[in-house]
Amino acid sequence: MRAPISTAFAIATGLLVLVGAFLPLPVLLPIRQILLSWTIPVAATAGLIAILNLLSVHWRKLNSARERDYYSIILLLAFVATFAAGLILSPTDPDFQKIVTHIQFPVEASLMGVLTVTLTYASIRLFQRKRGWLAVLFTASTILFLILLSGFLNVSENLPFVKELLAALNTLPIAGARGILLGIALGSITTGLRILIGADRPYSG
Amino acid sequence: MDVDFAWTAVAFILTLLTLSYLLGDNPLFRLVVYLFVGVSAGYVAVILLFEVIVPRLVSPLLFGSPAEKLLALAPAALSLLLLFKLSPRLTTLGNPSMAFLVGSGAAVIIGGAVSGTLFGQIRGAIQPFALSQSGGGLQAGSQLLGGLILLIGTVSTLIYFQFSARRKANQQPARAAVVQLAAFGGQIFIAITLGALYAGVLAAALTALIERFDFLRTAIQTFLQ
Amino acid sequence: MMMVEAIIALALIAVTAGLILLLTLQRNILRSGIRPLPAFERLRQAIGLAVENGTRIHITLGKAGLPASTSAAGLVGLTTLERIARVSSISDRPPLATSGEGALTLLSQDTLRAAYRQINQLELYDPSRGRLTGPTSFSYIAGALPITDGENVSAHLAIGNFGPEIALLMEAGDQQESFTLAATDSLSAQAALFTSSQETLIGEELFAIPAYLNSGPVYTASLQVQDILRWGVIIVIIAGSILKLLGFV
Repeated sequence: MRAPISTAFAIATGLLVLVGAFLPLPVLLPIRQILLSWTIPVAATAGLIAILNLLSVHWRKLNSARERDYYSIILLLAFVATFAAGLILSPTDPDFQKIVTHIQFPVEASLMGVLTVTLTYASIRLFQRKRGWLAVLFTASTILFLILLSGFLNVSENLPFVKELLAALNTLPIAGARGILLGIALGSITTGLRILIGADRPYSG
Repeated sequence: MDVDFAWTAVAFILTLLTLSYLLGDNPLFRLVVYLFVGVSAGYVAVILLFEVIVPRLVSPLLFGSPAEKLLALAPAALSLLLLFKLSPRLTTLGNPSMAFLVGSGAAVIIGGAVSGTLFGQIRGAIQPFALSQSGGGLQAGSQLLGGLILLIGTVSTLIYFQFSARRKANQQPARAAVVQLAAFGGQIFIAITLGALYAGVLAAALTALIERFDFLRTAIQTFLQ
Repeated sequence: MMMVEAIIALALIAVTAGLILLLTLQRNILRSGIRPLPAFERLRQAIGLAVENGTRIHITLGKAGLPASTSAAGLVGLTTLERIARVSSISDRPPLATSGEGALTLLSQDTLRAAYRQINQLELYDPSRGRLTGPTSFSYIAGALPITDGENVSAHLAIGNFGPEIALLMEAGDQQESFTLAATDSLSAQAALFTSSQETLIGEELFAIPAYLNSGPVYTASLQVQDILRWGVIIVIIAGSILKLLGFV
């Protein structure tokens, strides 16, 4: 049996948190809250270790003779400068916050902007990848809802039946989304239960 | 040169270099990517330290009441065990901490799926059939029609995902004809849904692109003044 | 939550767990198979080609942390990673796992280690093959972009919780003529991936990956249980709608 102690630990924790969520027993509620509050610092530590792993990967890339990546020096320097600034100034300092507003936000917003072109290009190539009526219906739906989102049809809402027609059109994606979400919920339940019955043990390395 | 001007210049250059990816992957875009990841990692590390580790572990253990110290002991021990993950040889010592996260995660997944999605969406699917709350006449008819479309769409989409199929000799497993028919209807709803969502994503991305171009224009005007 | 709902929820969970165990132990009770899905045929081909040609398979696991209700997709990604690590152990280049969250990164390392230990090839384990590419949604995708042309990757599998920005990675992989397959629990990301990845698994198909990759009887049993629950949900919705219409609930 793989990792018996860790498995017992995972099952016990999971069952306490799960039962505590559904049965409002005075004994279980505080236990569930305490267990969930413990996950926050443990997950944060995992985050810090993963960041150290990210740095070590780039340190190795910088020093690797075979796959040397000089860009890694930029990543390491950027990390050191930001981390040092955060330690010296504290995260709430307005000057430290400028890192977010003037470095992170512009890059994130620009990447989102780049996504416009990527998605447009991808939708043009859609018919090369996925032939058939599904791609045609998907494209027609995209165009229709782009027109609806643009507000172009709002002017004709006063015409008879147009409002009802628009409402009916808006119902169609809600129905599909509901079916997809219910399916995902069923899959999530079985995935979670495989952990609680000890069948899946991603922590057993 | 004042500080704000310098920061605007930084944002301007980063925006331009990131948008250069529109012309294809290039060294300047690479430079921004590595800088961005490094800065994000540094920022998140600082936030994790100051907003989580110090107030939830270090402060209670050093300055807390005996009860607070006792409560902080277990997460501190689990966090310390996690540090063994840094060593390939001793990594297994951190497994109980990961098991703790996975176990509680599994419970949160199940709880969210059952009470959040499953119950919530079933309630949502049934609600349009409460005709007594509508005004009656044409309004009730329109509500009933909407409810029926929702019902057919939800059920046929769910049936589309049916995985189990009958085994036949010398043939691949296949679903019953009636299930295939309903699944076909489900595919129609799925394609329409994904199209509508795609339109939403495209609109959001386009808004971001327009905002960036607007920022570039304003920044150039500032530089020229 | 009301007491009745809580009891129904607990009963549902207990019955589901019981069914998974029962169908795992008694595999032939239902006498049904699983329908063929063309995406998995192409995935199997891509894995086989990667092993044959000595190229790498890149699995990206998303950005959902633990514990979060959206982390189920990442757990499926980890199961897939274990299966692929075992299948491709004879390859010169073991798979590479990337993620955008700390706990998921450590779990990807654990999963790779467990896979190699099970086949008695622990020497293949390299912790840098399970890595964080960035700790925020966009830095995660941006940090993964260089992998598309720098690590001899022939297949990119995105299996986890993503935002629509995942399309940037899939499109970049496609431009390098790599095989791309995506499966996520996020609706907006599914829409973006529908056009940008060669094979897109929609919604619940994500949870079918381990079963279609023959990862073990428990995964086939899980799919069968999902199908049983599906018909339960359909009956409840239809019956509930009729009762609501008649004013009984």
